[in-house]
Amino acid sequence: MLNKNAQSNGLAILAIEKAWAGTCKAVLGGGLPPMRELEAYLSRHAEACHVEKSSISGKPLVAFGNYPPGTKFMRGAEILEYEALMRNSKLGINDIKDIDSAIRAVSEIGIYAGDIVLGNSGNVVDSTRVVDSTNIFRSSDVIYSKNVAYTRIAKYCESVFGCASAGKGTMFAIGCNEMYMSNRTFECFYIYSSSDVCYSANIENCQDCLFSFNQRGKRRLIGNRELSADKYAQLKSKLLSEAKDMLSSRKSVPSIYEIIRGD
Amino acid sequence: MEIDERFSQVSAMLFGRMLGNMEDYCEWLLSTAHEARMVEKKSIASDRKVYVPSAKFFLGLGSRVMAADEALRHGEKSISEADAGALGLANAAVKLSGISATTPEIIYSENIGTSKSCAYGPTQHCYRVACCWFSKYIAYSYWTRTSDSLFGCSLCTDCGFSIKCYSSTKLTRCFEVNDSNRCSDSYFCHNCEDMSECMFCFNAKGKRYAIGNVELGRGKYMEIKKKVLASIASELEAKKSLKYDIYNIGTAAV
Repeated sequence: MLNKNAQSNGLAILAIEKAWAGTCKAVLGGGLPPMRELEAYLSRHAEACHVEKSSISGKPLVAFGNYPPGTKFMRGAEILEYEALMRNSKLGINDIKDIDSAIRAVSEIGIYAGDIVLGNSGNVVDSTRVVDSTNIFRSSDVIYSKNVAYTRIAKYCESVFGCASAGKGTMFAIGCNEMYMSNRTFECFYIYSSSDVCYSANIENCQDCLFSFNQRGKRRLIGNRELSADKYAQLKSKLLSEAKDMLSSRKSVPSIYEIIRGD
Repeated sequence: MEIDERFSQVSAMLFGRMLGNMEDYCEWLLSTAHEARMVEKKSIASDRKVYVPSAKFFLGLGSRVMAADEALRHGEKSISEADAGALGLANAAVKLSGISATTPEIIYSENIGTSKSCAYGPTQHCYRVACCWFSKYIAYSYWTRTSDSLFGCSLCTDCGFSIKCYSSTKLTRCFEVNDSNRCSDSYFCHNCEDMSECMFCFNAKGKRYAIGNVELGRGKYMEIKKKVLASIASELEAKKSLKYDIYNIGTAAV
């Protein structure tokens, strides 16, 4: 069973790495290191899940939430073992007189589930609260999505990596937050109904924006300045190749927030 | 405010008593929905207050924030073509400092009576909410969608008339429920589905009148529920807080 699980996790990670390579090609022109080599970079925007140990099987699991030390966990797939265990527990139901006695009476059954994967989901590794989604790695609260890694909150998304709050229609995003109906984005905050946007914030209905802020319905912007197609393509190629080189050599790049804050 | 009245109504539904002024309970409501806690900042463009939620990806904006309309006016500024040509990752923060301040206020569609909030719409009568979409009467909550009358909740979709619920869908009249789906009239439940009239249930499905995953029948359940709710309401009225939540009850008796 363990080998089978390890094998299926391996296949899942291969599928997610393949999606990562495709996303890098779509967003930055390709040639980036494997996703797991950039784990620290990709984990910086989303609140991280924590790894716990199942009190039923001893296997590791992923949970999300403010659980105090000493909390007992189980994997979502261990429900039958949990039910068998609970059949032998003795609840002091007749002793319940108030909230304190109720909590004492039910203390034995208080095991929290991690690795919660529901609906028609597959290839889910080290993630929790995943519903109807495929190829998910180290993420939580992922619904109706595929190819998602190091992300918290993704709904109706495809190929999002290192993101938080990726809303409906977010596709091919790296290091982006608060997104909606947007394609091919890198290091962004609050991008709605836009495509090919990098290092930008508060952008709606725009295409081809680099280092731009607070824009509506524009295209080919760098630093909020509209450029000719040739000039834009030339500068975009230079800036993205710099980002790509930095990601390859330093395994990180400055974040959109550092640029907004002027760090 | 309408939201205060709704809080009283929902507390009466859940605990059998109206809890009174919602603001008195704000610390308790935010205690397990920490991302909904609003940090008040002053706009760099005016004296206006800007509300930034405590989610990591909003706090990253730092202090260089402004209101939504101010940000759009700020967006009229741009760098020169020569500066655009000289931009690189190393000098971007400096070269863009004149245009890069932005807003956390994402206001979508029509909103009526919503205040001290950020990232919302369309909404009615919401208060101190972040990432609140297609909802009404929501307060002290984060990432709620298509919901009605929620207080101190996070990541709830299609939920209503509930207090302190998290990461769930289709909950009605619930209190301290997380990671659950299609539950009603339930208290302190985790990872449950299709439950109604349940208390202190974990990892269970399809139960009714259950306490600690054991179905008791209506009479016995209602008798115990009355005692438990009376003690919860008394503690809330006296302390404006409750020492138990769905995250800590697993260790509270140890």
